[in-house]
This record gives sequence, structure tokens and C-alpha cells, in this order.
Amino acid sequence: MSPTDPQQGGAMPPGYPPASAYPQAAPNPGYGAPPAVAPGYPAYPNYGYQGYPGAPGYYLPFPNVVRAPRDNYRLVVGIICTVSLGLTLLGGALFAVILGVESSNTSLSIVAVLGYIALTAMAGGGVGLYFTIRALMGRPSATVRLPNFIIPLLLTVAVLAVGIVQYDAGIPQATPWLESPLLVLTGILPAVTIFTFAAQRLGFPTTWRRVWLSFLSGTFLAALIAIILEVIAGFALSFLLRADTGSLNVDASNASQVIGLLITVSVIAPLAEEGFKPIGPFIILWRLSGPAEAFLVGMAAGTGFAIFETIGYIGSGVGDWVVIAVLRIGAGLLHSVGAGMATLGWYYLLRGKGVAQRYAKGLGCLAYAVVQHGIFNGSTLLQLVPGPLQDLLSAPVWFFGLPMDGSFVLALVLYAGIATVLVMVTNALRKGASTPTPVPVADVAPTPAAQPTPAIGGLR
Amino acid sequence: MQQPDVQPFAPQPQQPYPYAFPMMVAPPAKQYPVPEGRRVPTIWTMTLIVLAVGAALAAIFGGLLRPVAPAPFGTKVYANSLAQDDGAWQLANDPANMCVFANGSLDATADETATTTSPSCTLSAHTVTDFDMSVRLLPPAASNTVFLAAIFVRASETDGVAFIISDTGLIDVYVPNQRPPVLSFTADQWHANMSAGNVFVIQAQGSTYTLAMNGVEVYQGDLNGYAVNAAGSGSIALGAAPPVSGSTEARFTDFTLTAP
Repeated sequence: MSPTDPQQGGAMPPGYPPASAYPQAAPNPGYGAPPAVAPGYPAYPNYGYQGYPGAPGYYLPFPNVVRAPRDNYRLVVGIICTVSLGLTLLGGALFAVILGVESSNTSLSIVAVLGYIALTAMAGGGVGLYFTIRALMGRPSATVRLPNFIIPLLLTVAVLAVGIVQYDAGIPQATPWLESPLLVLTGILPAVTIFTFAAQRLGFPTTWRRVWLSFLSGTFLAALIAIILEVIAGFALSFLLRADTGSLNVDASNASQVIGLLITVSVIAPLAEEGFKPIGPFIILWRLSGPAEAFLVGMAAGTGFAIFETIGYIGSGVGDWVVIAVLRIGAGLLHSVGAGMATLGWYYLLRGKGVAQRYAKGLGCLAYAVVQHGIFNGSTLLQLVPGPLQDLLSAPVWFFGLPMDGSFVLALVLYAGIATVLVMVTNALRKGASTPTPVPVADVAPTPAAQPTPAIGGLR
Repeated sequence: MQQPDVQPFAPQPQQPYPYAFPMMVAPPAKQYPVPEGRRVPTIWTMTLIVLAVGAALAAIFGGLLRPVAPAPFGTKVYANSLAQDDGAWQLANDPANMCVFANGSLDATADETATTTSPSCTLSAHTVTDFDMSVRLLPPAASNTVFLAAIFVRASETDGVAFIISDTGLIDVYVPNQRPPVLSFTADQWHANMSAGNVFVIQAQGSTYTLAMNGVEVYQGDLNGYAVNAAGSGSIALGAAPPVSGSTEARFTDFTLTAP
């Protein structure tokens, strides 16, 4: 916007008269409207000629509609989403069939993980397809609204309490099909609580469509890519170091193995996961209305990833699944804040025109996501270092009768740190949203008047 | 000449394309109302509450209905905490397949050089027919070994079944000269945090085997037709199953053997 642009309220430079408004009528009176039809001629009475009935107007009527230019970006994203969600639905059906075939001889872990994947892929993929089709039709999506975060928080406490009571009282686990819903909820509810908390603090700055598709991308696409990358990198590292770098059963005297494991969990995993968790939000980055929305849709992707990963970990606890569920109660914080920060970083780098220190902010956010993850993962290896720290982290800690160790306390400290970052970032984003920010160029270009991306229409 | 009321070539106010022909004026973009979504939080809340209550009830009542471990038989044949050698066990002394009384337990180890899964700690003082055996499985003492326990029920030197138990609670049942396990399942009562141990029970009555983990029955059947009947000459042995690479270890305590 130019400060001298009268349409934007700027002052004209001295020496020129103020511009008058564009006249509503041209000074030339014009030529009048052309006749709608040519006049006819009367019939000539002495001949059989019945007269000329009159010709139609001498130009064809022009259609009174100008189509809006096709939104190729939305079309391409819609097609990608449709294909991806179709594959997701098929994959979900396949997992459901596998689960059904193996139902009589399967474990809690498999029922929980495959059941969650099948259900999320089929039901969630169906909802995603609905959103995508509506987007292709140019229909809007409603602003996301969630219950107060206290509700999922209380439910988290309730389901964990049931699991703990079951464990402490020695009540046997139910069959996998009956036990797994409780297990899955202990993976879902903490992450939903964290996401709801952030969304509430930010004032729900996005839509259901963006949240849901970001969630699905984090659950399936990001997880798949991260797994593949981590496996490939792990093999390469094992080959380079000539050591088994993927096993947690580490011989502390084997330097190659310890270094390999450290690189695997503190470098490879954070880079792969934080690099690809925001893949869904990245695709729609150019349509996001601001940094707050970028952070929240990034968190949605991270929440999807966290739930998927956490259910897998909890299931591996078999009879002690509730111990793992309590230990990983803040995994949603780690993944969702990480993905939110990474998305925010990309937003500042690619769409932050006019934002002060945009590159520093962007790179800082991306670096934070990776470093946070690396520190969290790396802390688990402290137990391998012989000495007083190992003794401290391995010391038994009882949490409502659950057998934990000192690493649980360390995890709680790290969760508290990430929660503090979440509060600070949402505070800053909320303050930023309440003050006018420069409108990015990408939002200005398609519309004749400079205005933020509208909340209605097909864009959201 | 009278001026028309509307100047056809004059730009219309608020139109986006002032230079267009009058008939090409684009209609205003259709404004779809955005639903407020007030009902959605309520629906979410109710759904979450219903799911949580349902899951809790299913887990608790489903657990209470699980069959418990079979009661041991009336005659106690043998019992030992396995903290010390009582002479009832025959211990292998092969570096690839070792068994010693150590770390407060009967400690069996195996490494990748072992070619077959074979018993390393054999209860030689007692033979069995129908029996009920209970043993507590403890995690490895060495940090760089993997838990992989083996429990053998042998009708003879060449006939028997082996129960291989991994640190995830997976139980594979093998018979001699057959590569894939004849039965494989995960004991869902398995404590992955093995510090307190997992109590495993095998009860054999004829060709019916009942397996229990931590007080809950996890299998009952004839091992897919491969159950062995020891018929008075059978023996029970413990050990560690050899790994593909590295080394494995299993520690056993609180061994009890009863007979009808």
C-alpha cells in the first residue's frame, strides 16, 4: 500500500489539487440505448406478401455472467487430497480385514494399533473426503469449535484412573477387544486436551476442514514418511558405525553402539519427524490467515502423529500398558508443539513479508522443534551413562502404585518446560492477532481491494 | 435531448471491473453463511463422555469375567525358590548354552553360536505325567542381553514341546524338527516391566494344556494337536532360547511342581 494512495487514505503530495471522485455519469450524454429489435414493415395489401416481421436485435445478447477465475491451487490440493483419502480408506479397510482374520489370536497391542488405524482411516478418511469434496465445490467449512479443555482433561484423568485402579487392584485385563478401547482413549485424550487448550487460547482461528485434514496428514502421511526415513537412516548408520544402532539394549561399553543410538534418537528421529509432521499444513500454508492459524493447524498434524505413535507405545506395555500411558501423558505436547512451531517457522519464512525479523523467527521456530525433540529423546539415554545420574534415573518411583523410575520425573520436568513454551507462544500469537499486521501479498493479489483472506467462501 | 435515467457507459458504483462492458458486470460473489457450530462442542463432549464410560466398563467387567489360572494339583512334587542349588537340576556347561545358579535365580544364557534351542537346566530329580508347573520369569541380569526364555516339556529325548517366551509376552510353541511354531500368541497379562517378574503356569492333563500368566488363563487346548503326554517318563527343563545375533538370558525363580 502506498501512503499517497488516496484510496487507502493517504495524503496527496503538495502542488496538486485533490482528486475528485470518478464521475458517476460521463459528460457525454451518450447515444442512447440501441433498439432491442429492428422495426417491422406493414403488409403490402395488393400482394401476397405478408410483411416483414422484424429482425432480431443486431447484436447477440452477451451472457450476463463473468466466471471467477478457476482456483487452480485449490483444485490441485483437492485432487491430491481426494486421491490420498481414497488410499487411506482402502488402507483402513485392509487393516480392518487383517484385524478380522487375526481376531482370535491377536494381542492387545495389535488390536489397539490396527483398530485405531482402521477406524481412523475409514471414519476419519470419510470425513476428510466429505470436507475435500465440499472444498472442490467451493463450499465453506465452519470455524472449529471444541469443548472447554477442562472436559478432555477430566476425562483423561478418569480413564487413567480406571487403568490404574485395574492395575493396582489386580483386576485382570479384559480380552484385547474389550481392553483396547480404554488403552486407545488414554492415548487420544491427553493429546486432545493439549490441542483444545491451545485452540481455546488462540480463539479457534481456523476451520474444521483444515484441522481435520492436517490431523489426518499427521496420522498417516507424516508417520509413514518418518518411519521409512528412520528405517533407511538407521540401516545406513548401522552400516557406517558397524554396530546395532536401533536396539535399546545397549552395551554401554560399546562406544559405536552408544553413539549410534544417540544419533538415531536425537538427530535422525527429530529431523525426520519434525521435518514431515507439518507436511499437510505446509501444503495449505499459502491459504492460512495468519501465524496463529499456522501454529494451530501444525498442532493438529502433530496431534495426529502423537496419538498414532503413543498408542503403539502404550500397546507394547501389554499387561503394564497403563504404566506407559502415564509415562507418555505429555507426548502430545512434544509432538503437537513441535509440529506447531515447525509450521509457524515455515509460515514466517514463506509468508512473513513485513514481519520483523521474519527469517530469524522462522529459522528459530524450526530449530526449536528439532532441538526440543532431540533433547527429549536424548534424555532417555542418560540412563545408560554409568554414574550417579544413572542411579538417580533408575531409582524406583511409585506413582499411585505404578512402578516407574526416575526417568518419569525427568519426563515430567520436560513436559512442564514444553507446556510453558506452549503458553508463551500462544500468548504471543494472541497478542499479535489483536494488533494489525501487514497483509501478505498473496492475499492481496486475487482480490481487487486489499483485505485479509475472507472467512467465507470456498477458501477456507 | 432528455438524459436517460441510467447512463449505460458510466461505471456502476462498487463494481469490481470499472472498464468492463455494462453487460459484463460480474455479479457479487455468493456469500455462504458460515455455521457457528454451537452444537459441535456439546456433541464432542457427549461423545467423549460416552466413549470413556463405555471403555471403562468394558475393561473392568471384561477383566472380572476372565478365567483365572487353574488351581495347582494336590500333590506337591517339588518346590524351590531356585536361589541356591539343591541338586535337583542338571546344569549344562556349554558357553553357547549355559545354566548356573546366580543372581538369586537359576540363570540361563545362550548366544548366537547355539545351533538349536535345547534345555540347559533340566529337573532331573523328578519325572512327570500330568502336572502343574509354576515358575517366575525374571529379566536378564546383564544389560546387553535380551530376555528369551525357554520351557521344555519332554516325553523323551526326541519328543516334546518347547514354550519360547519373549520380552513382549509373545509365546511361541515349538515341536522338534518343525520350523514354524505350532502355536503363537501374546499373553496379554504379561508385565513388560519385568522387574517384579511374570508368573507362568503350565498345567497338563492328558493332551489338554492350560497356560496361565500372572494368575489369568491365557490358553487352553491341545497345542493345535501337538500336545505331548509324558506318560510317567517325562521331564521338565528350562533354558534360554538362542538369538539370531547377540545373546539372550532368562532367570527363573519360585519353581513349583504339583501332580494329581
